[in-house]
Amino acid sequence: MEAQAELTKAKARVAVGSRWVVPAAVLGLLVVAPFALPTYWLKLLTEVLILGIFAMSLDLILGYTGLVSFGHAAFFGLGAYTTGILSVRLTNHAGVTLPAALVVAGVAALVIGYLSIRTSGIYFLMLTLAFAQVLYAVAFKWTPVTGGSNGLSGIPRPGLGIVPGGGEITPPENFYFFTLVIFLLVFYGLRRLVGSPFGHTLVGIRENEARMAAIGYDVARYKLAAFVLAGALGGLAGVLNTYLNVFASPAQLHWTTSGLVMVMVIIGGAGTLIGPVLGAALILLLQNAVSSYTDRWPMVMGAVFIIFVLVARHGLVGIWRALAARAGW
Amino acid sequence: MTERVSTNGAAQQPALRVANLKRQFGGLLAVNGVSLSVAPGERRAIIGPNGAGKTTLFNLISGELHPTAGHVYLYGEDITALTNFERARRGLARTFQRNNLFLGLSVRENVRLAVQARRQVAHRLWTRVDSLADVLAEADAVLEALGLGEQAHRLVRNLSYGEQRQVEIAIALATRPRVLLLDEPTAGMSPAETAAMTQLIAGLPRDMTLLIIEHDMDVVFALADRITVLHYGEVLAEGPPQEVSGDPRVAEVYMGLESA
Repeated sequence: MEAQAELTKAKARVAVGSRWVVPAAVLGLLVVAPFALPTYWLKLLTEVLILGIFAMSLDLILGYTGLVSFGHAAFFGLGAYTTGILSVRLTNHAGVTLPAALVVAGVAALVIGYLSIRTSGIYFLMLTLAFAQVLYAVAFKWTPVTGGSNGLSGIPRPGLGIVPGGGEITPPENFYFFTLVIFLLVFYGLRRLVGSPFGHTLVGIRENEARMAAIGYDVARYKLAAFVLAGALGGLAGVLNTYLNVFASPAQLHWTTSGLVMVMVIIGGAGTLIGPVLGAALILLLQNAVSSYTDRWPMVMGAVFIIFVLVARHGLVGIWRALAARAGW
Repeated sequence: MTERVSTNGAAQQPALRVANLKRQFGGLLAVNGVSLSVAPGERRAIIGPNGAGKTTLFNLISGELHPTAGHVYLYGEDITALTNFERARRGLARTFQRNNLFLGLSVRENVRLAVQARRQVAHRLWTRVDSLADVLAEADAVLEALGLGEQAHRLVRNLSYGEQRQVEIAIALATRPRVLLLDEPTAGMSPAETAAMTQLIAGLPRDMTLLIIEHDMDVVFALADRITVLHYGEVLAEGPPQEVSGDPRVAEVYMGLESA
């Protein structure tokens, strides 16, 4: 009896230990990556982190709340352009451009969300798509401000210095660490959020919106709060993207960007946070590998997406869980 | 003497009052001028043939639907213009004729969400759900009281129909309602499950006001203090069970149909 209890306790300790093994190893690899990876791959890894933030932000509303938004590019693009325009015209200081872009994306999400949230399903999807396409048209046509179809170029690198114009984050390693810190903060913050009463409320809404209202939840308010948070974080990803590429383009606001991030979320595993990050990694790696052999990258991505939807509905995380269950972990 | 009358007056404030309530669907008057008054702690059965407007009446009371005309009062407060979630926060809960659950979540989480709503902690972004021990304890207490303790960690999807029916009630009870609307609580249950459910409802706190839509007359007679009979959206009869069951009009439209 006692031996049995001891054994259970020991197992529990191992389980607690092993829960931290994988995250700790991944974190270690992410920290040493800049010292081991060539610049090209480091930039790709930085992009993975940035699009990982973008995909996690969509996961909050798509995976957790059940709001299928097809216009998430709006916030990515708004973050990207706000940063770009401010950097060109006012200051490149990240202490200004980053918060300003978050506010712009958040306020846009408040307006778009307020107008779309009372609809659901296909109507919500079409409304969000329409709003994003309107912003795309603005970026495309408003050449004096946005650079029009050529995109906005000549954006200075972000600065973090105390002296204006000083302390630019130029070396790729520095920018990588800057992005990594923000990524980890967002990841940890979202993990806390989905484990909070608020996060559980969102899942309740996803599972049965009508019953949530019947037991006293103001469902529209929770959905709007989630939508604004997701919009602001989508904007954050756009900010980092402009910092990385010193370029903003209308394509970032195009519906194909909304589609791409949705594919990342679904391939990785909606409603898991880490899944969409893995989805972003898989898509970027595939794109990178396939593009060097053929121009038909979209076709390959389409095929991969179809395979996932058909045989791995819960994405990469679902595959991992199935394997872990089979191995008896 | 006057004092006593006035305190009596306060106690006589109905828990739920419905005044001349109407709801029209196109050309159909589903609920046509229903008025009723339910005293605190009373257990009222609403019976009537299919299509009599019973569930529509519940939807109007709980706020799932808004009336074409008329008013709903909860302990004297006019709640007609309030949404269903605002009514729920004022202590008006309901169950549904067809199970309306969080199928992909555990039994405990189904109930915990209801507790969380009443305790108004749902806006917290940074607290861990597991750290709110009082919320969990309250949810577990509801599950224990309904004999669902063993099932707490199972997904609702994987429960038997009868167990799901219990979860349906557990969620409503977890909001600690003053007035609870039960829409056919024994629908689709076996005789044994029906008996258990009847016992469960009978054992609810006596200060909780109950309105029960029920087709099973044994259940009605076991639970109801008074019965309201609806027919074509109107109140046909109302009174204590013995009186209503002896009413020839009721026998004609309802009991007659049942036995035919």
